[in-house]
Amino acid sequence: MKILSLLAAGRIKYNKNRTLLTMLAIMLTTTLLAGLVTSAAALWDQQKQQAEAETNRHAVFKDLTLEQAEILKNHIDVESIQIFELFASVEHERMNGFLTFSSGLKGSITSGVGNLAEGRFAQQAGEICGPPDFFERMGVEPAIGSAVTIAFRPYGEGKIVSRDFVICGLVTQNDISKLGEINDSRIAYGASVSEELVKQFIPDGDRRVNASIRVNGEDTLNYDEICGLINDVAADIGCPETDVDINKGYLMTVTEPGAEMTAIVSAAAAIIVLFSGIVIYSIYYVGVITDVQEIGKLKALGASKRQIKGMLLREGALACLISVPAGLALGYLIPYTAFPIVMDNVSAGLPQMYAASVEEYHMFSLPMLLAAAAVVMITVYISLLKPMRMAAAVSPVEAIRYTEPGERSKTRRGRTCMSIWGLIAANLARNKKRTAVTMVTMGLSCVLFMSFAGIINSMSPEDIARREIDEGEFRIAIDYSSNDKEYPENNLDTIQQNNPLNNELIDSILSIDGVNDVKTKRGVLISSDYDSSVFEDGRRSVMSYFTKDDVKRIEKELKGGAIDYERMASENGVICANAQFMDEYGLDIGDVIPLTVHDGEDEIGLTVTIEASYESSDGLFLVPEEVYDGLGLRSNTATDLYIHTDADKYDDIKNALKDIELSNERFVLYSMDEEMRLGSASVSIVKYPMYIILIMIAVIGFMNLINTMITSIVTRKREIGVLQAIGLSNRQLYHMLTGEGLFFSAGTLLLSVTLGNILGYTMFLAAKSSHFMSLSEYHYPAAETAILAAVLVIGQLAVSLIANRSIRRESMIDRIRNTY
Amino acid sequence: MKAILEAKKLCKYYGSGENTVRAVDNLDLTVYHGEFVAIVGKSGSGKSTLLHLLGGLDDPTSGDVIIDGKNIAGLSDEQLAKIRRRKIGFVFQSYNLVPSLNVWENIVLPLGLDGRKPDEKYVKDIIRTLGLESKVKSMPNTLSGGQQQRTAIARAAAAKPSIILADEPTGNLDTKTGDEVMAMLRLSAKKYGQTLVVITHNEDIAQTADRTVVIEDGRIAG
Amino acid sequence: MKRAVIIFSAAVLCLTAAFNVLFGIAAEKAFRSETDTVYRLCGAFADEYPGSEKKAASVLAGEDNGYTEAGRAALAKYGYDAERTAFSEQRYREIIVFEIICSAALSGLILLCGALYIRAVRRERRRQEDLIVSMLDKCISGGEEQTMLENAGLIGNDMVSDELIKVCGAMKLKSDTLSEERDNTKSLVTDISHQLKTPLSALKSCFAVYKEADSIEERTEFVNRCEAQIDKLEALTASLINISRLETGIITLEETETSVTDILIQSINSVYYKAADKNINIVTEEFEDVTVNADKKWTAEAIANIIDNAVKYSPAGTDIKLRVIKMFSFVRIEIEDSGTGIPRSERNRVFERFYRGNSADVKKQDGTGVGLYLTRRLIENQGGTVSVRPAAGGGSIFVVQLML
Repeated sequence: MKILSLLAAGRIKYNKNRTLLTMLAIMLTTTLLAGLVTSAAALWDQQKQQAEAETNRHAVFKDLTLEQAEILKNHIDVESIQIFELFASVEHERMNGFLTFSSGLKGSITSGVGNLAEGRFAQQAGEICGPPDFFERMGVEPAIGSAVTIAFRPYGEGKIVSRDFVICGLVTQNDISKLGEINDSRIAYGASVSEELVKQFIPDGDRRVNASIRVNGEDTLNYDEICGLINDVAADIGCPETDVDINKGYLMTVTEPGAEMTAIVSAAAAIIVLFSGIVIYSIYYVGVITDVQEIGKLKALGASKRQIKGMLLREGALACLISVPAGLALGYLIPYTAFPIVMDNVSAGLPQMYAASVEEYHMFSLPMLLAAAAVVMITVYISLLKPMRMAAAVSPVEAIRYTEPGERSKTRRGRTCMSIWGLIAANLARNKKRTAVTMVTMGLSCVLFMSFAGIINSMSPEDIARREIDEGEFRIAIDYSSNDKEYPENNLDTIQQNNPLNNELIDSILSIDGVNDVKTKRGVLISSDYDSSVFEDGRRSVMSYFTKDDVKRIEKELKGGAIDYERMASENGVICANAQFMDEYGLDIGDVIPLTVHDGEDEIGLTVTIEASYESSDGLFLVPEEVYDGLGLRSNTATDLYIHTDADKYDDIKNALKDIELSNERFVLYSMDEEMRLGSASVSIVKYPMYIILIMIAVIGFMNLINTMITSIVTRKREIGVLQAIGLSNRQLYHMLTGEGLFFSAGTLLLSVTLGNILGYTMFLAAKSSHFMSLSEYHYPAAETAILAAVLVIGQLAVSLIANRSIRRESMIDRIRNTY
Repeated sequence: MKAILEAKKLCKYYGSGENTVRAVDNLDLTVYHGEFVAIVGKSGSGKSTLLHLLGGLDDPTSGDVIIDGKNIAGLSDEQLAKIRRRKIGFVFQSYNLVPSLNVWENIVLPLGLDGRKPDEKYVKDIIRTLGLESKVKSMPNTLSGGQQQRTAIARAAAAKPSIILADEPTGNLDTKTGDEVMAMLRLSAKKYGQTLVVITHNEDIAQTADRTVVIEDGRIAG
Repeated sequence: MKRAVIIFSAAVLCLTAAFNVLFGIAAEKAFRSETDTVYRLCGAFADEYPGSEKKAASVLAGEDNGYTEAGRAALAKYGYDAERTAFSEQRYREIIVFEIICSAALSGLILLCGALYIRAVRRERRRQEDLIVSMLDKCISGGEEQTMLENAGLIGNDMVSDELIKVCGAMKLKSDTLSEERDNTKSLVTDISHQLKTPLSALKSCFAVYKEADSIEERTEFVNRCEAQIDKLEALTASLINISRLETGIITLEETETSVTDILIQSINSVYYKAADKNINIVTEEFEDVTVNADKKWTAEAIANIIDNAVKYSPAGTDIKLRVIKMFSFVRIEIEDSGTGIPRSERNRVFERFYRGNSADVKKQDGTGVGLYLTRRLIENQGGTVSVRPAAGGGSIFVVQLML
């Protein structure tokens, strides 16, 4: 057995170049796989940390008695519990304020906000602790020791009580600016008081608390098991399931890396393994072919089949011994250094609320790395199977005159005149199978490249931006609600009674230098008795309109039905603009729906038929413009203004519009540059990983290319020597090799532009229908195609050049003689 | 008589110091036009190296090779390649046909490399002389050893070279086929006015030569 | 072997003991955990309801009264239900995991021991095989008996070692006998040569004395000898004329479609009587007739020369074999005789002009050294070849290849 290892080591030393290539291939594979799993682990960790940053609770049990809370605390499956009590509502102007009491009973539950910034939590009845915003809103300086008088109603009912408090602590808060353009009346301000105060007003028996809990087994149980456990606990303490609010987002993130990520990772891993397997296989295959004589000699000396196999296996194992650990180290270190940088870069372009705020990534996962190593070794083993069998089948006699097995055509039509091109064609035709396999494997990686490129290219930030700003460069929208019962003044119908998007405003915008045009979009609230979840409990939606000019655009994105504008105008046909949710809403094409249009205080009846459906953000229904105008609406139903401007005055106009935005709290300004930035940020989040995958594919493809060239040279060493002996000059040799290579390149390129683009377009359609990255328009990856072509051609030329050099180093005679 | 191939003080050493192998050592040889010279020597005597040097496949350590009056020392690769395909035809022991090409294509390959159109009548005549008419479309791996070697001879002759250098042309063939191949080589050399230099370790093969040169330890013996 | 069994049993014993100890530790841990729980519970109740420890003690002593059921019901809302397994409880899980790891480690150890044992056994076998092989090697190369005996002692099985020693002895005996026989043959040859030399020199001196004689009979013989010399001279001249005509181009070879059979018949006819004189049969192996492009007369002459030579140098009563083999573009005619053969050094030269072999056999025969030269010229001028190689039986085979 020892002698086999010696032989294998000797062969490795002797065939330095081949060993190097093999080890490089194995190392690259390991690096790619390890890098992939490490990146995936890092990404998962980031998601986990982000989920945790919000809160790490598993569920909230609502409306518990103190007794239930106590049982919960001692429940065997509960790891941590924190109770939270909405004690009183603050009566201060129109402020949406609350006094709360919260207490961690067991363990710790973290959350992104409400953590003590300075001071301490309230312990005595006269103490209060809250976010600075709360006190500012109360008109008090947010500093420890300040006094504040608060009028409140315990449990939101009964008499208003007024008390003096001393601020004993300040907690962190949501950055209001992060929330953007939310109306003040919709922000809840909360401050916490002591239990003592609560007890003064409410007897223990009447107190109702919400409990945030974490159960045991986050690390070991899967998502369904945890949910089941939570429900079991709730059942144990007699909390109805309706009062259980499971933190699904967090649990899902923590318990599994997400089906999408798993799918992408395994697909990428499969691609890597497949391609590297082919590369490693062909290296060994060629190795066996070139070493056939040596193997034959060994057999003549008495080596058994098993020993030959063992020798090759050991060779592979020895190559793995060095390259796998190296690959693992590289595969871990590259993402370890690059991942935070990439993440920071991506985050840098993003508004804060999207930004990743993770300091350190835990991406080291021993089992995953070991799995990667195992996969690589299995790949090497499988790649070795055929070469091993081949080597074992070599007979000592055959060894002397071994020719590569291939189709053995007896005759060949041939041509009367030979030239370099004839030689190339003949060689390609001889190895039809190999030619095809090489072209397909190389082509496959390029096809994948092109498909991904197609998708990446179609992820245009502008398309994403155009979701917000349909036309023009700016949009001023009204911030409104549809179903705000507590604050009806926020509802669209109320706003429209005195619509701030009036002609004066439009005139003043038009008067800004550089504004070319202002377009108005209108919409009204509708409700219906129709049996559908969108209309449940008198809920209202928005109805807008479309013009004859829009038909063409909409028809392109139509999901169902058909548009016949004239008929729809005469028969009250509508387009449902929420195609994706129609099933959920229980709506269907052809449904006849009686609508109530809310025009200010008036209500107008309108019965419509759903004729078509597509996906947009323009409300629930779109009626033909004539129908909309025919409703006889009295109020100004404008909801958005689209502003067309001269590009060179953009910045000035933006400043002017910002002033307008500030003039009314209901105005929200969308500007093209910001939307574009947001768009490109979200594109780059997807783009970077995709590019990484692309590069991986490209690297493997290139290795394949190199291997193909080396294969075709090594296996024909003697042939080339003979050709040179009968007068093939080095230049002609280079032409020949290049010609062959370029044939592959051309074939590959052809394959990738045809098949690659078809596949890319198909993938695009699939992605579009699943609303991936709001893809809407296919952009042909022209630049990528050019790059691919350039890389293929230049790479091929370079490889041919190097191959030509290396073949020149070996003397011609050696090559001719080699195989005697 | 006109000398077509001359070697002057030709040396080829491998290795250096104590390990120097003198494959060809200070050898002088003149081959005259139309001659059939057999170079005979045991294996390891340096005869193959000599042939490679004479054919410009290898660079001598020192000395000159003069082919048809032209000293090939210091010629560029491009020029050497040209000389090889115009002045010299090679026949190897292991035939060395290009496996992807059929017989005809193999035969006209040197012409193609030279950018010439084959003189079809001439090539067909060679093919007839060598009895390959029925095999022109066959692939090399379907031919017998003798047929392959005849194809190689045809290939060597097709470019109308002045010299045919054959390295153990019958080494892989049985005696009868070997005899026939030698006869053909001789015949085609004679018919097309080529000078024939054959390397062999088999003295029986050398019987038919006009002149036999025996090589021992890189020098001409006797 | 005994030692291995002892070690193996000891290892198994140790491992079993270790396994039991570990199992005991785990059980002890579980018991401690359980008693701690009981103490905690009793303590809490004693604190809450002083004096309740009496009840507790009686319960611990075994009194039930449905307390188990009641307790389970009371704690149900804390998640302690009947189907809860030990594994779901942190403390017990630790114990179980501990147990699993320990048994895995032990199993691994057992496997390792087994592997080591197998390895040791294999190694021992290998060692023995190596010893046997080295002994056999020595046998073949005829090593010394002493080392062989030493080696044999190292082989565990004495039956094998005994047999080996026997084989070695037998081998040695045989080789000794062989070399003795070889020496005997050598001296025999030397002796015979010495014996031959003496009568040969006696014969030579007899001939010298006979030459001095001076009678009519002797004169007649002298004339006869002269006649023979003239015949020889005539033949030589004829050959020379042919050569000069051929070389100056007076003979033109007219290549026509000729059957090989015709050529062969013509050549055999010209030497037939000579052959019959010596009682030599010319045997032609059956062949398929082919036509060649050759000058019938001169090609027949060329082949006749070869057959003539063969007849000349073959002992009386032997056969000359003719074979015709059709090749691709040549027809191969082989002429095999059972003569003395041509030494390797002369094979290249027999076709040279005026070359005659050096051996006594050749000198004895009349010859001019012209025939084969002529043959070669004739054949080669028609694009064929002629060569000679030794025949298996000691004679020569002349090979003529004629273009088809």
